[in-house]
Amino acid sequence: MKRARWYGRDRGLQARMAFTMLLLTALYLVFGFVLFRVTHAAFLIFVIPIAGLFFQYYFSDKLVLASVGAHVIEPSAAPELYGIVQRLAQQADLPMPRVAVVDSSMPNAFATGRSPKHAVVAVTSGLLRQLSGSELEAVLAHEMTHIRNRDMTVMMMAGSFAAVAAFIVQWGFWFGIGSEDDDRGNGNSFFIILLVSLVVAVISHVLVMALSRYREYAADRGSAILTGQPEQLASALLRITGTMQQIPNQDLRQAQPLSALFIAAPSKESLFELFSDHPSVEHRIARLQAFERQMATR
Amino acid sequence: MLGRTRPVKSNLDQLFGLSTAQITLETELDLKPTGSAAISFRPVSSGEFAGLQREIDDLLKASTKDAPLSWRSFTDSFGYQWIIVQSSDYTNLVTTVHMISRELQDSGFGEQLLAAIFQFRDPNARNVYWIYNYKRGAFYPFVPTGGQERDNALEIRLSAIMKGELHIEEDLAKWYALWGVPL
Repeated sequence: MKRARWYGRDRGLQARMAFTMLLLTALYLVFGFVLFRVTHAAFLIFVIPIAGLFFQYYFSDKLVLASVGAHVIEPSAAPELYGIVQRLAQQADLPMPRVAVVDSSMPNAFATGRSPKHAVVAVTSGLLRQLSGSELEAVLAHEMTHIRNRDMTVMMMAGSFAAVAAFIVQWGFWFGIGSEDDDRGNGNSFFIILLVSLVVAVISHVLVMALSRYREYAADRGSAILTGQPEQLASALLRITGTMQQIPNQDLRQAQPLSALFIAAPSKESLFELFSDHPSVEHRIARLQAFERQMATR
Repeated sequence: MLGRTRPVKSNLDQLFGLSTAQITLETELDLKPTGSAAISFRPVSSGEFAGLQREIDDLLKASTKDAPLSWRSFTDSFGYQWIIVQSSDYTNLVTTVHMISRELQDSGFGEQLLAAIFQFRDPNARNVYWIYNYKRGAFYPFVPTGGQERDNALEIRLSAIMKGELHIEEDLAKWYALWGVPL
């Protein structure tokens, strides 16, 4: 089993994930401490958003499916899709998730549910139309890895205090008015809470997004391991984002008159990724390619 | 701005990368070189071409001492001219392609150079080409699957694996096809 040793883990990625979670925990501890020191109502402030979040998480399968209009399908309705998911579930040692289809031409897929037992894998009809069999399998393997890594739970917990902070920023003003005649509410405490919450909300958002991107990379890797074909996920990503459609079918000899106009495309490296829950496709493919090289030079 | 066409210089430097990359292609990817390669360039007048042919003949005569080498020319339906080289020795093949390209460039046809094409075959006896775009100084894979179809997934995979060894064209929009390669 020489393979398993280098295969499963990406130490750099794990280290970054651990570091992000450590920062989040530290941030949340400080936040909780400040909140409880400054106000009596801390408990209430915590309970409302966390209860809401937990509700969302607990019923995530039903809520998400309803909100995007996905319908769970029977094995007989899509035997091929069902078969792929079944094989992957078996391979990943997961209970068979429910399979749902969203009627949308945008190619996309997601997994949801509070635990592997309650998991649902959903794909859009556009995805089914546009991808080849092995590309579809790679995308589903990515979603199955999300389920196996319990990413729904991890992200719910990571986002919990961020939700509290955002809740205070959003609604704190109304609380502030209410607590005007509070014996401790000398106006200052209200602003401290608001300010601290704002800072926590922003920092935690960036951290949670970073964590989310790392989980995406991990799911990409999991897909590559499950299918043994990182290039299929790469080509699915390229197809979903329309990058593969860039490869022209036009002949070089016909394209010649344009060759004088060669312009280097500006690199799309940007700050946007900091605030995004998915890494850019270029970065994901770069990693898949690195992984593929690793596999090839085993 | 003033409607002047600035010549796009050809870059031959990255061509040699293939002679070492060929080993990786064969060992890691099971792509066997067929020993055929070609240089494609825009048509030049017949008088000029006759002169070129003589020069290429002289060049190749001088270099064929250690390995057998043959070449022929061909004009395709687009009117492009091809010089098709064949050699069982791979390093020799790449060197020859480079030499002829250099010769074309030195004789003032650098502008006309279109691409160099190297043929490989996968275990299923399918043709896989590596195309070298002179203007970009970069390689990209081309896997026609019959008709005007190509296997993009395999192309992307090949480029991923060879990235470290070959200078790969990064802009996918520049991965133009070459249908009906006369190799």
